[in-house]
Amino acid sequence: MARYDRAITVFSPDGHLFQVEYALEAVRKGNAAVGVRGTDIVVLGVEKKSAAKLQDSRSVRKIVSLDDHVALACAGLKADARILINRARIECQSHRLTVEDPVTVEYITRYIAGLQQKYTQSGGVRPFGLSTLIVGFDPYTGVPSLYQTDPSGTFSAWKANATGRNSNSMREFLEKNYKETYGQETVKLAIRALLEVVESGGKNIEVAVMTKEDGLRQLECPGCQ
Amino acid sequence: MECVFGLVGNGFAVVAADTSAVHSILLHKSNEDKITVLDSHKLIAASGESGDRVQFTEYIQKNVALYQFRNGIPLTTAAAANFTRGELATALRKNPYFVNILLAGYDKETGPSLYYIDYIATLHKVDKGAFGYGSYFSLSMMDRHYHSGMMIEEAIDLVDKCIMEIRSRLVVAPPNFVIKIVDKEGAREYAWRESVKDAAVASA
Repeated sequence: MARYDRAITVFSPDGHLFQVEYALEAVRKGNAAVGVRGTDIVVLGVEKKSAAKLQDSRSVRKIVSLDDHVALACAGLKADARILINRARIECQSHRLTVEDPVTVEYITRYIAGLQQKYTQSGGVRPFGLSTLIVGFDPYTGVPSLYQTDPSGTFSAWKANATGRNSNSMREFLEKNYKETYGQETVKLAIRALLEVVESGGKNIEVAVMTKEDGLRQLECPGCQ
Repeated sequence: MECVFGLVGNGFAVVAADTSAVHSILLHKSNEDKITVLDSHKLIAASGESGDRVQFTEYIQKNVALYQFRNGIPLTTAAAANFTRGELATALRKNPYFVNILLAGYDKETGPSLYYIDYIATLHKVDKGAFGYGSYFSLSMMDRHYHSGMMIEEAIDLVDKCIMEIRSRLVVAPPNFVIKIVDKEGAREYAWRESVKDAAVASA
């Protein structure tokens, strides 16, 4: 046990947690991801690096559902993402089992962020190298939400946000062009933000929309919109 | 006292369960739904210790949902039945669940199926099955009238015959039953058979 109490994430003399900042670097190198919240719809989009010819692109799903009414996209280390997503899915069902209620988007975001924070304050582990964009609808009020978490474990709600490669350009675009939209307008905004930083062409982006009634739906040909 | 029975028909499976919640000599309620919808195309009809019944079936339901999120496709009925049996078996020699289960499901590839899972983790794939004292009557009735490939009207008629038999011959027969069905359209409630409705409480 003595070998595992050497903390990897320690403070620097000027108050930085370098491991967390290096994790943020890993996020900055990851695929671009964008999320937009409309009045009746939430949209997630991710950049898909040109698929290797022999790879079955359907096996690489970048936007996943955590429950019927919550979905997640992320930028950064995809292997770390698998672990977080698995834990989140278990927590969604566990919550339903213990309190007979589906999770709220805020609850599951807080859970994921809490998990990310734990790994910045434990011995022998490194932080998760990913930021997540979590979207969903409140199970009772039907209000749509978009949240973002990062490797430090902080989270906040957004009207629209981007993470991963060139996220600053995407965020600038969103800040300039965001307005309250619904339906197809929201989808168009998300796709346009992504296309700012991704070479245009349908094969390079994956987009999914979620509505209160129909849950998560992957779009067939985002480039055609 | 608790009666659960079911059968497989032509492209569907139907299960019926009594709806009385009993504690010693007291009938708590007579509209307790003991058939849980496991997922879009599966039903669990459970009888036994009421705490265990709810706890165990909800646990199975959440794990089936988790599998679907993790893997993107639902469990087959056979897989769900074997998973359920496995959980009963694991708990058996430490802290057993006193729940008897009939698991009915519909799979696109293999059609309807019914699984008999008792509290000591016996698993059988069956065409018809029953639990409880009512099984003496419903099983005999089904043995006499069941044939494979029954249409829905025939099958419901047989279910009604079994309910009639239970009502007339079982000394503490439960008053009400619920019937649920699963076919390619999904799992849903089919009907209630009530002989005693909860009386409205007269205001003071």
